[in-house]
Amino acid sequence: MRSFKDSLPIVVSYFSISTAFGMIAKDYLGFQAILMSALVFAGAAQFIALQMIANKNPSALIVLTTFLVNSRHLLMSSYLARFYRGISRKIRAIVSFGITDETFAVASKRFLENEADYKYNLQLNFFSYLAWVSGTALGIFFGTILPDDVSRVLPFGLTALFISILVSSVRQKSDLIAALTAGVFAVFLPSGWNIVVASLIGCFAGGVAERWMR
Amino acid sequence: MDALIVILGMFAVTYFSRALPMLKDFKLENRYIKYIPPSIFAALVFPDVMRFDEKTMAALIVLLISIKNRNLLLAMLVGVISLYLLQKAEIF
Repeated sequence: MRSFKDSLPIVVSYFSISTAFGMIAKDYLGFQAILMSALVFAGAAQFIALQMIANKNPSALIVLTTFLVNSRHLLMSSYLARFYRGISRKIRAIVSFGITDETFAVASKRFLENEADYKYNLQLNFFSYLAWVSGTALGIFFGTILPDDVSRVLPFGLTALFISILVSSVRQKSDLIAALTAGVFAVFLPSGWNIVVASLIGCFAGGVAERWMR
Repeated sequence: MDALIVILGMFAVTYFSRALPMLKDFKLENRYIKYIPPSIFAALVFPDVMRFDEKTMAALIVLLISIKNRNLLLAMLVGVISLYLLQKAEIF
């Protein structure tokens, strides 16, 4: 099954990251950590929330920060929507739940290659989700499997994944201009909004560059 | 503080962002929307690797590998192992 094969890199990284999440979250949330992974299913936001709970931030601020961090899914979802014309509302509602940076990256790549349909996307999301939730549970139960110095470098696996996806998403000069613009803005804008705002500026730069070069 | 309320709130705002464009007609100009993938992934990567430390070096290694080979798992393994070794070597 191609969806299973494609999901493997995501499954491996999600499983290790969510195990780390479970190990840390255990002290603050107990078994509710599993509920958070099962309902929120968003790595960065969950780690940020953990930090904010540890620092006793008000609930409303944690939710607002989650919205800021995860509002980038609006962009991903609106990009994917083009491949879901004529697909039932129920399926769109279910597939939406599983949109993450990584499942979006793989699914959008496969849709562009005409090698994906909604079933592929649902399966890809499901395998990734299973890894995320079960890894969280494992992290709670077996909190000390990995030596500290190994678990500390694991999150970089996600950055490496993004780099690889970035390389395959740059197909022409205007893509490169969009990427460089977004990247530079993301470095200098304050974190929280930076991913969303920098991405929008990057899209604009790409569109403008395309017009100029024509 | 009630953790359950935080979790439900996080679920609500996250699902909203994921589902709104899929369920409602939430249109962005087409010429720009195709630049979402390169823009978002650059925005996610750059802040993490632009502090000129071990991560910058590991990212460059991953970049070179990714240009030659599109395998995502390979990129991930190379990234984590390079970062681990670079931190052990304490060059920076």
